[in-house]
Amino acid sequence: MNEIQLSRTLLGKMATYWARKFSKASNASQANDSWLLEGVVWQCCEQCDTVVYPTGALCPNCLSEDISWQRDSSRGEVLGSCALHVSANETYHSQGPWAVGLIAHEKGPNLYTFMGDNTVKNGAEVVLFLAPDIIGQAVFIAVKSGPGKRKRAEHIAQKMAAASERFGSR
Amino acid sequence: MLNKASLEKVSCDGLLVSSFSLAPDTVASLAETFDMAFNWIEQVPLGGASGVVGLRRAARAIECGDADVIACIGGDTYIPSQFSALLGRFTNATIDGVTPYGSGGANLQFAMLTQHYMDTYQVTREDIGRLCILQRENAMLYQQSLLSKSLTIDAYLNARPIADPLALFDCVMPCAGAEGVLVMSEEKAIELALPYALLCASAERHNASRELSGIPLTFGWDSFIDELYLAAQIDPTEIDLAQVYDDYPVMALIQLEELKLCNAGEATRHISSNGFVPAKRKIHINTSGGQLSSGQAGFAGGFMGLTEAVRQLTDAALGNQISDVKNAIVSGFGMINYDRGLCTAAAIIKRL
Repeated sequence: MNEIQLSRTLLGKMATYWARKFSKASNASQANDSWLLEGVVWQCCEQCDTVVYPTGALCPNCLSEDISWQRDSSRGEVLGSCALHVSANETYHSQGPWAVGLIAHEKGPNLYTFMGDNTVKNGAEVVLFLAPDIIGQAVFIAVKSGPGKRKRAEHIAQKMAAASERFGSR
Repeated sequence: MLNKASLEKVSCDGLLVSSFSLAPDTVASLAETFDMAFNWIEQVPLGGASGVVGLRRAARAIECGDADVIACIGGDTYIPSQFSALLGRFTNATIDGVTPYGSGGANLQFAMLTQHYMDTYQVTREDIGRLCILQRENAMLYQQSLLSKSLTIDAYLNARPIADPLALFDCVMPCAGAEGVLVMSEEKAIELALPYALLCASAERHNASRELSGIPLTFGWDSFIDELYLAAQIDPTEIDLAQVYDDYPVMALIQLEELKLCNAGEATRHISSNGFVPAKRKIHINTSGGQLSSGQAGFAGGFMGLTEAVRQLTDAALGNQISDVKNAIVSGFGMINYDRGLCTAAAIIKRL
């Protein structure tokens, strides 16, 4: 059930492919189904450098189809956050509340992300990571910048891994 | 509708529908379902903006002579598993960029918008609760509302949290249902001896907030509202009735403000147990209780404000008939493709 609810579009699945690829490149010893990548991975227009996010088949700026997957910086700013108490997904619902944020990436797009903790205020600088969600697809995690950022991201990634194991959805 | 208008099927030659749950059927299928032939058919997939936009499309068809009598209907069934599947897979951007983050549905976007509105304008949950209580009071007078128990501020504030800061009574109750109107020329309405209201002016704008960074607090009505009042030859201070699309309380408040019925951020200041009274003059809002208290039947929610306005203006309200209603503004909103609602529309209708 989780699989159907949370499955991505074709392009969305590509995001996971590229995130895993980039994460292997930066840490070859990571196990196959557990990885954590600092930064974002998304589509970018080769003609005008505009970021295409969420996934798309053409550039929203110049309408070119010459778009490719790239890794980009991890910096963003919190626009808003929310503790989700009720979820349409039984796994997220029972393991809640989950902290979700809306982050303004320094390159422009707004991204929904999981939040490292509930106390990050609007306007705060955050660092973005990618990790597998409860069905193994790449999701963003935003954490406070500064020492311990990777640990904070790992904590959320582990929470998702544990949730997926309990409900056998990977 | 045909029964109410004493019309035979053959007298209705146009059909416009909006529905999430009609698929795989379309408006074309309905021609056989109803066993009717049409000169004009249309399907409007714009969520809560469908009612007003549908009215505009139908009115243009009547003006051009493409059809004489057009039935405009919004309707949906409600099957819980289908509903959450629909919300989670509403658009590609939602599938890839929103649902993976906790599957909160539209509650996520509107929770953040509500918090941003509260922070920007120093509005509290208690302030917003007054709107919900007012609409519940209207619903208690309305025959068909699904929520008819009195709502207190304590119950509102202590309700089950959904997505902070939204709690249970900030969310509509999904249900099955349908709403509709017949659209025709004034001459036709007189010929058929039907009670009617007049469409004075209407407008729409989509993706108006594309250049607004962060979480937008305006969505498009502000881009056309001055022209709309001018075209209708009505001043906002003369509006008697406002039916605003209330998928969430914050959107109802934002519409009241963008429709220039009060200043930005100030709607809750004018809401009390006496109703919505900006500038010392009461404007009746969401008189059937709105979706928050009557229920949201999918796309039908987009038609609810329109049918309620027409009923009020023809003295045919199913409860809570307001006296001396001379005009109404109806506003629609919908289609969150990713992080913001894209479609806005409004119409001014008056008593003949």
